Amino acid sequence: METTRRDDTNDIAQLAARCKAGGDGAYAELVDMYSGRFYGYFYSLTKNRQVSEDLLSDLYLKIFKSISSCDSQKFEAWMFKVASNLYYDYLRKKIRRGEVMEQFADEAKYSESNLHAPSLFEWDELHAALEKLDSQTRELVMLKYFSQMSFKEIAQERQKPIGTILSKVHRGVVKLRELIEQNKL
Amino acid sequence: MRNEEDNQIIDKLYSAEDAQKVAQDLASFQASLDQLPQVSPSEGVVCNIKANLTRELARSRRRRLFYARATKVAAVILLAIGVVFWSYNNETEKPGEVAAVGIASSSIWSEDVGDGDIEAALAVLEDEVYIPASTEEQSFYGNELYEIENEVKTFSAVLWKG
Repeated sequence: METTRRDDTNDIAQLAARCKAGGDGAYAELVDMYSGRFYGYFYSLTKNRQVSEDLLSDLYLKIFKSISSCDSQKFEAWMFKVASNLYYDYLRKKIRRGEVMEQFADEAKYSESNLHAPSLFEWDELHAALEKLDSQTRELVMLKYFSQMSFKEIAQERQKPIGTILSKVHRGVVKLRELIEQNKL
Repeated sequence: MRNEEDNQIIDKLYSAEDAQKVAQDLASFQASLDQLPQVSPSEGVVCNIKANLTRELARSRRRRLFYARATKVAAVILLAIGVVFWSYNNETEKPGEVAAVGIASSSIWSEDVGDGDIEAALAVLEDEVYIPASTEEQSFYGNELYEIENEVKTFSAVLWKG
């Protein structure tokens, strides 16, 4: 799993400032740095390469259009908030069209035909377990993992108590592990 | 650093025993996710995203340039309108006329207006009267001018006496 990480908050803030100023190459750097994490986040939730790539494209355009409103010091958290909103928009559209159930069948076929690396079975296992969680917990667990945000940052972003976020993620993780183990038996 | 922050929160929210278990659960889940094969968007998609962003950036620069130019043009137009307006006002409100009107109106209400003021006002009024070229016209307009002059003088005299 690609995890391009920059723990140096100043570097990220500087990159945000360069993007805001429309500096040459700043967006290309942003794409290189975060594509893997954003894509992993979308893919873990949608289980579909095509949809994940579309969401990724939309995400960067959204970031581009509304970057002036973000705080450079909280750039990473802000980007994942945009990603999260984008995923929920996608989910709402799907539900409105009544395509959620059909989607799972289609995506399973798509996954089998397009992702043929031997270890992808593990992704399938994860996807199968994730499907059994409620959508909020599923999104929260994946957000925690892919964004690498702290519980405090997630709580601030969601405007919920840290304890609630922590217990939801923990319960989700425990449930996921149980489901994966059950599937293996 | 974020892990430390998380651990501090876990320690704060759970009892020592539970905190250890929660931290372990989370860490082991993270480790198992790290074992998953890397998924990443295809290079074509990444190139496409970069191209889109470059295009959007160029578009936004063009837009900003356009607005900057439009602002300059608007400023120049406003300045031109201001200059035209100012020169028009200067053209129509000649100091002499203003003085004449001022003196004439003030003479009605004030007793402090002297002969010199009236003469100055009349001189301005005479400037505005057409000077005829032919003798016939001269006699006609001359009479007219004489009558106007007389009327003003009479009017002023009446006011002063009053």
